[in-house]
Amino acid sequence: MNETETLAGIIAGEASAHEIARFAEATKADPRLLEAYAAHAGIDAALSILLEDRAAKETARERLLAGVRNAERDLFLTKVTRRLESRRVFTRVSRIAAAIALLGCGAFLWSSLRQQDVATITRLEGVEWDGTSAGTVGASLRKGTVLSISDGLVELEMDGRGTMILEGPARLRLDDPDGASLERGRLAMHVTRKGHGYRIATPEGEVIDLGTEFGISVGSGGESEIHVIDGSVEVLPNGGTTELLARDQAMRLGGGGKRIEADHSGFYTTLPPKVESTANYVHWSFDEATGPALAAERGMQSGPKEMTLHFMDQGALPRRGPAVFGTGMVFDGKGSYAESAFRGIDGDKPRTVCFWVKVPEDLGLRESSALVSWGHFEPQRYGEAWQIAINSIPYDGENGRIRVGAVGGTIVGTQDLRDGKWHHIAVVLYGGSHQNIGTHVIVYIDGRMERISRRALGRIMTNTESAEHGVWLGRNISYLRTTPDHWHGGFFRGMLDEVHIFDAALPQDDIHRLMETNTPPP
Amino acid sequence: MDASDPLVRSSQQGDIDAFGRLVLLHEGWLRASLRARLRDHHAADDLAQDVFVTAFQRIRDFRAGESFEAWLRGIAHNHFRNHVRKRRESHVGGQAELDLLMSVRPDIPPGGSSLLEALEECLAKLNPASRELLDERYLKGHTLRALSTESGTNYSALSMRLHRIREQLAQCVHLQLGTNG
Repeated sequence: MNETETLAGIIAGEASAHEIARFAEATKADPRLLEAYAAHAGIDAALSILLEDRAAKETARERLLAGVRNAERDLFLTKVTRRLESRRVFTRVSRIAAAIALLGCGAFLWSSLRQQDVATITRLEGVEWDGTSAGTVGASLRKGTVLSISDGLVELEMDGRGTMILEGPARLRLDDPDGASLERGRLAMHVTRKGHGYRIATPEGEVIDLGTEFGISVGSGGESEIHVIDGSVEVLPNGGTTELLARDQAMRLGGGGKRIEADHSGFYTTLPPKVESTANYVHWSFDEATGPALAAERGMQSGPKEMTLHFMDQGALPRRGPAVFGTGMVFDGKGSYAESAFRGIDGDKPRTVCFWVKVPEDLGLRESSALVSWGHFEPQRYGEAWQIAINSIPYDGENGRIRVGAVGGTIVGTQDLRDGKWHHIAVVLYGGSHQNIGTHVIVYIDGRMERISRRALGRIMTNTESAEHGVWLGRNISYLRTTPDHWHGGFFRGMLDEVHIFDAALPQDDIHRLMETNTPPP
Repeated sequence: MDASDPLVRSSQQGDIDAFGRLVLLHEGWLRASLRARLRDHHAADDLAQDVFVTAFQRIRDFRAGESFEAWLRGIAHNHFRNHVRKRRESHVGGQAELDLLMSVRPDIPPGGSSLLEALEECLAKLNPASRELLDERYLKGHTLRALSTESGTNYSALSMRLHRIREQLAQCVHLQLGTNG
């Protein structure tokens, strides 16, 4: 390969590291090569901006403006922190005095606290213990207990000091009633008045609550971050100085501490409430020999729900093929899709969408579109659409992963589904206040809670009233007849089977039963 | 008068909305310039954010009469050099090495808002087939491999065709910039 071809490959982003290194070496001998590289890189970069699609441009601009807004707030808070500094000197002197007093009765405290319960397990969602189980729901945990999970969510009540949600994979040690050590994983903690001063140690520093809600993450190499959701915390990075962090501020604790942009979208701050009543549902089995897919239902609002089959562009009608239970639908990725008169679940109401999906190994980016979607799509109408898809937008996460989006908010999973095998998917939006796609959605793949790799916060306000269609299968909600979204592709290539839509947030047990027996909860 | 001047004055008096408008006015060429030097587009856009944050923090240091674009370019170059140096500590070889070579040549490639304006005019002169290929690659975001498979064209031929279009555009931009100033 000559230098021109290598240069073309580098600009296309498809040259190997070895080829780039060899080219870099060649530029040292011939400076004109570096100039040629610069010229091509310059035109390539300028084209990437001039021809950038509208949505990507808006996203980039919004991020730049958010950075400036954060900087403005930081400037303000720095001034406030400086004023607080003088008061904190006084506080430190008081703490030393208090410590001396505590030493006097230290022996007594040690013996009395040694057996003390410091937390209670209140919820377990999709938990897989890594080694010994710390207990089931209701179990009291003593100081020194280590919770080690490879997956799932554990909710703890911290003996009146607050609630903590631990997200696996994680390892947490309950050091004493007023503190814990997070060795890896993520936790979100809401602290009550009694719990003020609660301390979380991480490999790279310590966080002390000052009346707040916060999230802490510790990576597999010990990299630690703190993101303040509400209130304020005191942070002491190893080798650094104490700093005060307020709401929507964040710090990477390594290297003495570095302020970073806050992003608490990655932390579960609540867990799904238990389903108290019977879950209503619509179910399409696709087991008819031909024609529309009939719906089985329980308790949903009356009206037709059968799924009619359609095609547009170069596509053909969806056809039936052997699936997990009987037959399922085959979509060609060129224009086949199905539509129901059922308009889906509205607003921010809880919901569970379950189905089987088979994604081909060679799925193209423009075929990685929607699996199930409904609601109203318009670029600036945030939260009004609801769509479950295979991710094909590198900016949001890796390709081939499950993606749940609502225009403005997105979560992307970690498991590559492009393996030509059947997988059971369950997406649960649970109730509460201010439902958000980043913090109120749990995804299960093959019955196991899916680890979320990327989250972008966004309210969910699914708008079924303004929607011009009902539930779609296999068609991207942004692929409209008038302004088709060619960038993100229009149609899914692969198979779907046993699509269920429930009007409640199903617990993991019910999802397991549905997956194994195709039977909805009684 | 430069369109940035009144916005800079308002920003210096603490008007964050005015600074926001400055961001929108300059983000295009700034991101293009950083993407040219740093082939990782996401990293380049992150760096653009750092540049605007620094500019915001130091806006009062900006002296009237200077070019705001040139001032911003200076901040961007410092950020770029720091970024490359830090990355080199943990990652040697390949693209990092090439970025490092670029970091000592602030003169290439030519950047700034004038390049984008010139390129826009040059794009209008392209023949429809070339323009279509650029749209497939940049607007729709297809990789060359995908385009090659889809169109049945040999990958190397397609890569060289795109190379020649870029060369044609670079030449046109060069002439355009020479003519206009």
